[in-house]
Amino acid sequence: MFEFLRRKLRLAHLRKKQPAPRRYRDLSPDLQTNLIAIRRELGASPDLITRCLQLGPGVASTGALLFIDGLIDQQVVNRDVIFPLLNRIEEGKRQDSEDFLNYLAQKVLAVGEIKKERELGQVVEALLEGDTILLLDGHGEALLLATKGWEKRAINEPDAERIILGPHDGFTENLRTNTAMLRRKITDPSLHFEEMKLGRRTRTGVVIAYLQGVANEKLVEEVRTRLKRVNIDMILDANYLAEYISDAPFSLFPTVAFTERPDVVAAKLLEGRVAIFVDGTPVVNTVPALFVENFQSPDDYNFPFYYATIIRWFRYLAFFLAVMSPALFVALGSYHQELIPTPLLITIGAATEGTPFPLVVEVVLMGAIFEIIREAGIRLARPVGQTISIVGALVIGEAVVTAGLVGAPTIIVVAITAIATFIVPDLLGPGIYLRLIYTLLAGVLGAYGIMLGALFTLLHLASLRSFGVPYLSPLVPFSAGDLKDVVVRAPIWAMETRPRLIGWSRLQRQPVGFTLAQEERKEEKEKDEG
Amino acid sequence: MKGEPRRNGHANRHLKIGQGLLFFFLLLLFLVLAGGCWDRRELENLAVVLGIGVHLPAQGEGYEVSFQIVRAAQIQGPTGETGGGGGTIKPVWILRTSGPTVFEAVRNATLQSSRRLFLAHNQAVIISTEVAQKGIMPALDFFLRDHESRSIQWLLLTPADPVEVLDAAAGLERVSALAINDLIEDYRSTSKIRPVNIGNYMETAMQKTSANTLPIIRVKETAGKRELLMDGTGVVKDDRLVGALNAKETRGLLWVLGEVKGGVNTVDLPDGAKATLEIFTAATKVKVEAIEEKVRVGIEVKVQSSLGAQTTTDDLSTPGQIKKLAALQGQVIEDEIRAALRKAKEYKADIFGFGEYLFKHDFPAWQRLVKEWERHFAGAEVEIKVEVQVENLGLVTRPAFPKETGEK
Amino acid sequence: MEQGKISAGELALLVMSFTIGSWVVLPTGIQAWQNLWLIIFLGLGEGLLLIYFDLALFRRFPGKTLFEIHELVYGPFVGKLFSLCFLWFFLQMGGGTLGIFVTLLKTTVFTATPDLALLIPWVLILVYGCRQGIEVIARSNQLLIMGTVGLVLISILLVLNIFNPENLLPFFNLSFAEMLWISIGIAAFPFGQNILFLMILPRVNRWQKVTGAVCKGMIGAGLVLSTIQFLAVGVVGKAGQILVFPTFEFYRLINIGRVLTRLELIPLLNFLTMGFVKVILCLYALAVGTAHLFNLRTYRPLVIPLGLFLLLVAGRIYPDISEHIRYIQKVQTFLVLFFALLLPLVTLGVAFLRRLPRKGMTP
Repeated sequence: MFEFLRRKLRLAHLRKKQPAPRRYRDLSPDLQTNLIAIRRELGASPDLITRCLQLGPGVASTGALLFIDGLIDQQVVNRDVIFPLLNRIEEGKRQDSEDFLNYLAQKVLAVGEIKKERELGQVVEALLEGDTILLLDGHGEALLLATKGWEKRAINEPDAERIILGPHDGFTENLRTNTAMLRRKITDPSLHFEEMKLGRRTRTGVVIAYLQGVANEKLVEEVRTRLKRVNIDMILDANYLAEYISDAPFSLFPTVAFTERPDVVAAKLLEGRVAIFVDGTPVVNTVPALFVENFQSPDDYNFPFYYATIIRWFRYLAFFLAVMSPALFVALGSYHQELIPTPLLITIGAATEGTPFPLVVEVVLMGAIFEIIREAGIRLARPVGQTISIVGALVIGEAVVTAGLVGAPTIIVVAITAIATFIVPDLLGPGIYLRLIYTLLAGVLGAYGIMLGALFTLLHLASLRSFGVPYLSPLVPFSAGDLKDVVVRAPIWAMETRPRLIGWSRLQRQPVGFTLAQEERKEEKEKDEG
Repeated sequence: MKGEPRRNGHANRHLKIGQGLLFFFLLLLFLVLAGGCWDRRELENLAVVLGIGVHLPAQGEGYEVSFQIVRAAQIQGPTGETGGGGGTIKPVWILRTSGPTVFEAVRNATLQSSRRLFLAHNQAVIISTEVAQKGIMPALDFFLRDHESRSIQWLLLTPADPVEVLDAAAGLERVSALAINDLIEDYRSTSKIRPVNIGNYMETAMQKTSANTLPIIRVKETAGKRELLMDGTGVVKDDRLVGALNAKETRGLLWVLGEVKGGVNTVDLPDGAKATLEIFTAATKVKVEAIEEKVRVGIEVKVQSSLGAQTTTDDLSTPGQIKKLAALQGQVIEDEIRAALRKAKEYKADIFGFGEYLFKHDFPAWQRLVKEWERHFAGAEVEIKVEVQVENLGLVTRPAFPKETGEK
Repeated sequence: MEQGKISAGELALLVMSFTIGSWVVLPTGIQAWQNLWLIIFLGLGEGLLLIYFDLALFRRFPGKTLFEIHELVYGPFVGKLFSLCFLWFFLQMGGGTLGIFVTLLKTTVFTATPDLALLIPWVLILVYGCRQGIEVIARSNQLLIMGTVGLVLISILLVLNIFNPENLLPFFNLSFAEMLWISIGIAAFPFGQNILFLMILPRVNRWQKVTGAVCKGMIGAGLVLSTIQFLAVGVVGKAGQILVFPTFEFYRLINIGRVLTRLELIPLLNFLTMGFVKVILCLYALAVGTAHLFNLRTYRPLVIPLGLFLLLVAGRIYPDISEHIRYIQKVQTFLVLFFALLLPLVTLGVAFLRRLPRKGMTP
């Protein structure tokens, strides 16, 4: 299996230089020829609209407007393109002169962005992106009119990342809307966007966003090179890119972070990270992604720091429980019963009396059933999903215990695990695997097995990097200053520096502000007293 | 691994992680294929032993070991329902085996029990006096050596067959071994027994001059039921039982060891009535000196107590009476200590650890005296100073009857 | 060869874990049980002196591993012979440590599990970790040592109700000669074994800080070991002398309201991680050393066969536990002193006589 994967990877590496985009011809001066050529490119698509028109009233010239139905704003085309073309052209313009197109662009057409293009391929591409093409008979050039406009989803709160306080807007599927939302958060000229088209067939717009001077130049360059190496025919979501550019594609742990929230992206950019927007999806990648980021929620910064700190601790605890509790239960229940207090042991013993399976089988089985119920709840329509959960919880949980197939403690442990799992949603995937692996190890070697698994996980995590930054930092390599946003959530005024390994090119983020304010107050007080 | 990820080595990085995965799968595969689970013991296949008795067989060599095994299904759960069928079955199962060593006897239990005996939760090891007279360590060795058994299981002595203790009614508990545990843990409300676990026993046994003590448990018939009773302390010298202390002497022992945590003293009042005082806090300071060949022990006890009950009609709440009460209690405490000392000297057993004190604080003297410690201990001069302060009267001052004393 | 670099701080923590390593399981000088926690400091002092001598080699040839130094000093052939001796030393150190922990597991928890079932998964993870390089080992170790120090601190709280300070008395009831002899044993094992770091020091990013880091690590380990020993004596008392694994007994005695009992599994697993670091460093030194002997470009292909070899050694090196205890108490001191004192001194002497290093030799 691994040989196969390896070969695949190597081939992918070699194939990168392959198919160069097809060479297109230039446009011909003959309108009909051009129309035929474009139609041939697109096949007989019914959504390609060709509107032939006679320019007027000043000159008598034939032209054609081409656009894709649904990709353009019909009102703009009618009012600002067709109407002026038919009615606003002054007398005496020589329609065959070189200047005529410029004249149209500058004086007639009321469209924001107009480009001239000579090459057929570019024209077709613009057409597919929602531009309206104006072709004139006798001109070997086309005008590309930016009339993009299509149905968009309104800005909603993202379902996957709920918060209680703070901004509730989330990204949409529209790239421009998204970048604009980010601009609204960061009104700073150093916020730079770099756009590229990726995906041979989808030609998806991908934007790298970073703060010039804050983000490390090498990091931005690394993101650029990795993105440039992506050679794939389609990009439908941010994850398509993430899997390509991630440092450790085989690792369970995400080395590229995802978010749908503009405030999160803004905060990460301000720490010196780089964001990658992908057109057509509300999900934005940010890199480098560290392990501890998975435990940070935007709400941490919207609530007072003491509250945020304890909640964060509970999140660590929840992740530990989600990963470890079935394994610990199996280890204690099947190997190390001496660690259970005597009365508890007797109670558990009474509850598991007569169950036919070993504990590890019980736990794995119930865990699997839980995952299935969860998946069913997500995939089904919402009301049905709830029914499924209730049926799953009541019928299966209750019946299995009553029938004496599984002990009640197992159900309790699986339930605790299930709830804890959702508290750190970013690590859902690794969680499932780690839980299963640890449980199996515990079933074979008890606590020693768990320890071996934990050692392996630790070694693996320590070997990971995300865009050059050690994945476990700031825990290891240890960086005491950065624990202010890991062990606790320090007060905002105390987070004076950016994470050292990411934002080292401009570490200081604010003056040591709060102490100054305190000093001032003290001075005022002294003044009052004096 | 290269320290810095090579910029163009993306594919290589894939390989590295791939290898990691490979290792892990190998590991899992190995474990699962190897059949695994050698030491696994499922809860439902365990016979949880809560009490063990060690006795000598009527004839022949070796040991007779009895076990108290809990029937988990018969223990009432918190919901009130009993698992299994009905409450007629006793919640414990008594099993008796024998073998040349305790270990073999324990293993022989598997011949009779459908489930594996699990000793890690054993609460108490009860040895009969016969075993104690023959030597305790040979019987105890297994419990110290075995990885399952714990060092904090209580060690008790019983004059009869230990199986009687294990089989006795457990009072409010379902399992008598748990009752034993609670009886011992409650020693601080009487301070008339001295709890010893096998770890303590081993530790004291290793001290050259000290003698061990063990609490005695016996079975007492009450209303047709056989109930447990803690009764005094056995004295073990050189690993053999040599005698016993009664409750009063045990208290004396606890005073010297500084292990009195509570309990009451009853004093005789001049008019023949009695008053009982509760001990709140007690602190003991022991000082052992060896001058030449003479051992001198200074014992200083400080007690804070409270008046708990009186049978006299006098008003004991006046400062003068309180002082008197304190002096009387001091006398009682000193009596207790003297009684214990007398017994210990009689047995020539240094149950107080005076020799150990010398070892720790005056090593050269200890080296001098250790050879003939028994003699030195028996000849030790003990000076006792008891300081009692009655701090509290409870909720009333004087008794309600007689109505008016007319004093004042 | 390997390119990874570690910082001086990481080195210090590595030294700490390595030193705690297996001593905590099977201590030397058990005859001085009561005073061992004090004698550790004496041993630490002697150990520091010893390692300071060894590090003199590194200071003379900065950036060179012990094996490279051998070849510079003795020439390629004799140098390789010396290196071979050290390879054997590392092998028996790693195998012995692995053996101790497997014995420990077999005695205390997994009595029915075959040795190999305990060893093979461990060696697999060792091999995996070793192939990741010194950087990853050092970083993982940071978390592991935090766990150990945390455990020791928590233990202090847990034993408060059973700790009897009287047990620590009397101080120094041994003759000075006895104490000196025991402290030398401690200076050799665990402190003297740090000679192994001469294979790792060139990987430290600033070689000037190396001596300080190693000393700090050893002092830290001394403190940890002494604290554990202190607690063990205070809790267990004299009985510790007759226990095979005395350190764990005091965890067995922990009793917080009869709910927290039998906690020995937790320190056991924790000290297992320390042993893990020790063995992985042995394996690393073995692999790097062997690669150097055979002039290989990278040590990584050697890790798997060497790991297997280690596994075989661990299974065979001691026939039984009493042999093992005898070895640790009696033989090991001389062995370690031979490798950590005599051979480095000879090398240093020869280097001095030959006026090495000459110009152009040091990087």
